[in-house]
Amino acid sequence: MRCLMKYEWYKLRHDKLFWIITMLIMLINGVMFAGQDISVDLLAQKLFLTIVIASLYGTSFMAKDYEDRKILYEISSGNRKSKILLAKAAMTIVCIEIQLLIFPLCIIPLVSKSEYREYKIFLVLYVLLGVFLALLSAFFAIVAKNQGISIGVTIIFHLITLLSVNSSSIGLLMAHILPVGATKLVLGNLMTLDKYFFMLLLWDVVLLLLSLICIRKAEF
Amino acid sequence: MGIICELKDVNKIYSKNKVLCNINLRLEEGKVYGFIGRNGAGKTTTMRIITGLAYPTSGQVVLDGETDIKGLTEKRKKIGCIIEGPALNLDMTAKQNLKALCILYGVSFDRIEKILKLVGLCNESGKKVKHFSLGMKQRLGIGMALVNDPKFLILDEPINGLDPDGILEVRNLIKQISRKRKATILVSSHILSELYQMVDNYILINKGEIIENITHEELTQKTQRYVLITDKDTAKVKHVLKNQLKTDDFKEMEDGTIRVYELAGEVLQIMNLFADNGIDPAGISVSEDSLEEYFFKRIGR
Repeated sequence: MRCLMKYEWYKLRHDKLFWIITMLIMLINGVMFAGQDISVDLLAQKLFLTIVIASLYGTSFMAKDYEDRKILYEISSGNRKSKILLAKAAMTIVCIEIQLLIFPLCIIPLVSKSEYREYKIFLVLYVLLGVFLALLSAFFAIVAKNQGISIGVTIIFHLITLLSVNSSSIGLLMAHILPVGATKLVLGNLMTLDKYFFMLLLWDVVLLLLSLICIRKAEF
Repeated sequence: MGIICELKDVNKIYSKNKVLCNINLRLEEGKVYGFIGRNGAGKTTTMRIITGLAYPTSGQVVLDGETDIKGLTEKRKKIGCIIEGPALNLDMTAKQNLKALCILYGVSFDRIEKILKLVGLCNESGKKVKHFSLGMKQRLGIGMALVNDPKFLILDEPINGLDPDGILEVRNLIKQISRKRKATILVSSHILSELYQMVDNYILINKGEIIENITHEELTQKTQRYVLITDKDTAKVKHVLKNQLKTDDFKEMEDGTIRVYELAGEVLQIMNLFADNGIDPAGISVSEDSLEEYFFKRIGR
């Protein structure tokens, strides 16, 4: 498992696309937040694009190895498929967390002291959301085993998610089910952190189990 | 010699389509096997099953005596392979690609230079793989398959799409690996003349069934020039060949004809001898099978 993790990290470090997208996220957010007073509400509203970009990159990172059969090396190095999936998912968590948190962490000095507590909660929510997005990417990637299809499915998922962040009645209902919308509810004090944590845990366990079942049966 | 890989009654069915049908195969240690068949004959599927990329619908895979999942996973650590083209990180250099695999296999980086030298990419080690030619990519792919110092190397169409120079490079490389490392190599191709120059055994597969598994010597004998004799009294013909022409290098075929290999240039001498012994053969001619003809004969056009 250690070798697998080191291997995935080596690949991530040398993935030019990862660094380009991370810089792009910084740039987009820099432009979007330029000249505005940083508040948690503003961050929650405007970071949706970052979530989508990070999620799409995560899916691409996972699906790439299945599509071009680089997973062959991982299998022939004597690793069980479940371990391979766990290592890939762990590295996808790392890359999505970097992309999600890089901007919010950089602007900490700009956050007013009165909002520090709320900001910390916001960062915790984002860390948990990152895990969910990575496991979602892992699931879509192993089901499709194709970059194009899995990215397409991720886009559709986020379009549906978009409904959950608006204030319509359907949106509110979906926000209680979908983690991205639920993040907004927690920040608006419409959902407790415990409930949010439990919901994400449930999503994560289900996605992980489904991915493990899929990879055990998968052929490449 | 030990058996490194064995397939027992392996079948593979993809949604009612039978891709492999009762495959039985034994691969001995240290030999180079040529896996020959048309596109879609089942070569890659067989290789994918051996490497664990696909599962057999029924049947058993035995690797170095191991049959259970744990044992097979362990034995696969000593398999190096290229399946359907080399899987490379195009944005990395040749050296970085090899380094990544060294990390994965948990082996020392020391072997990177040796491998680069073996595959002739020492001078290109700092160049990004996306700028490599197809031949260079294939050679790097073979190099990557060697990172874990495999006892068993599986190469699926390693010369596919290469120009004559590239084919020569890869062929020499495979010969070199077989000579230096004494690894078992299973190499598939449909360029038969290329396989002829590097393999010890030929495995013919068609429509998911193994048709023949023959040695290089047997194949050479089957494809060399011979005098083809057709006569009802084969016993008398054989007696004359053995006692008067003093040759043992002939073979009675299943269709009743006799092939005399050693004396392909001596048709006149054979005819005179037959006349002296009262043999009037229905047919006598010099014949030969080319490698391609032989395979087409076995596989069917």
